[in-house]
Amino acid sequence: MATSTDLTRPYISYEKAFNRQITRAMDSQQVDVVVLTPQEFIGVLQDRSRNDPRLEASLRAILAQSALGRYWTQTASPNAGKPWTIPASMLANDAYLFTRTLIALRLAGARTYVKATPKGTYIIITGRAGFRGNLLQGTRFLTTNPRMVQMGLGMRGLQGMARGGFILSLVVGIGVETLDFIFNDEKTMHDLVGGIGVEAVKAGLATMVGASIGMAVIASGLTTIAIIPLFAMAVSVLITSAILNEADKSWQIKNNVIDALKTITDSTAPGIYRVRTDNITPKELNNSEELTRNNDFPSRQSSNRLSPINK
Amino acid sequence: MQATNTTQIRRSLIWSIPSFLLILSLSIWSIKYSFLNTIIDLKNSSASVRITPLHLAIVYFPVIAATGIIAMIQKSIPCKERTLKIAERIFALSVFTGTGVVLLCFFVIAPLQYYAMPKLGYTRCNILEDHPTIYFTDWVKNPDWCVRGKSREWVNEQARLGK
Repeated sequence: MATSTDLTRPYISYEKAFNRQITRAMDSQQVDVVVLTPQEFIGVLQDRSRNDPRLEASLRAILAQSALGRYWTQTASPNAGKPWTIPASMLANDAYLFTRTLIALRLAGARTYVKATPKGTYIIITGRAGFRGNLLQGTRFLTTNPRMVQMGLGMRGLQGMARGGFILSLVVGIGVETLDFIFNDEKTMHDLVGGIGVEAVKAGLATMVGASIGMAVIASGLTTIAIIPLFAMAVSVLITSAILNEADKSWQIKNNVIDALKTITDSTAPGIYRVRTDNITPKELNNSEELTRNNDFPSRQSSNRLSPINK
Repeated sequence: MQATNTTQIRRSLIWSIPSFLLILSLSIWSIKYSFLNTIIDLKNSSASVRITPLHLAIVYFPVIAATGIIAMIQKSIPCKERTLKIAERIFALSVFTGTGVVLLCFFVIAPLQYYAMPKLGYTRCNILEDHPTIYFTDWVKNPDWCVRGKSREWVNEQARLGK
């Protein structure tokens, strides 16, 4: 460390000089330290990358190279990204509900049937009391009874099961697609939106077909055995999902949707556009005129008012 | 289940028959698209065979759909009690059998292929295109054609070129 050469100033000890120098250095090199939670940090990065495609690309590359990203793309994603994920999750859900219902009914010994009376529709459970599970103490339940609804018996029960299955498939589908989008740097926003859309439609269609068949069996009184509609619904959902996946694979529906989304967005040439405000003439319109004008050649209208600056 | 009146039953036909028909047409398409192909591949001792255990359930599903439609129409007419009982029993039996077939597919057909296919001279190959999956298993005649990411068409092409 250099000694003080300023003769106008009194001699100070080495230690004091060192402390002063450190203080001066600290004053001249002030750095703001912000402590952020991971969520806040991601939020800041997202905010900055919104207007900076290069930063977004580099962030996605970093995420893809992270340990979790590598695990996702190499180990989990080849399984999770496949079209069987949602039907498999729905099957697991159905299997769980079935098992619960069958345990409660102890199918081997308890026979269930439905009886409509002027007071309401009842699910009657017959057979030796010992064969019924601990869940069911009684022998006669209204179809709106929460226990029956929980077990998927009766119209309400089927509706609840269908809703639960659909929500589960949506959650699984959106989760898988989103994770794939975050950790797989080859996936774009088109893959995310197209993937979620197609999976949701497939799950919705399978649930709708299954639920309508199950409910039709109840509504038409096709059978008195209470668990038949539940079985019919589960089998229908499973088979419809499997066939829809085959159809998707055969006709490349998801890929076509993603390609269409890419084409739509790519057809607009990138660049900065200027809005020609001089072309816009204020004119009072009533509602019907406005609607007609908007429907007529919307693209030409917009092209008259937009002109690319850098082309 | 006893429906309250015939009107309600007839009203339910509006959405139940299209649902049954949709699933019927989808299952017939699936049988034509993949199940028959598997049978033809096995018959011709093709270079690659794709076994989908669930196909047996899909083959059975038209039976459920057809009996369901017939029984519902009979119920909405309505036919005699004795006739309805027959339709109801057939439908209940078909649904139970259908569920049984699904279980059979998962617990019998799936393990059975691991016993039967090697005897026919095939080697399991679950690294081709569309894998991994729980729905089907691919089998190839020659283990050298089992290449990661390649399609079944590629395997068949290799077999043709090798001849």
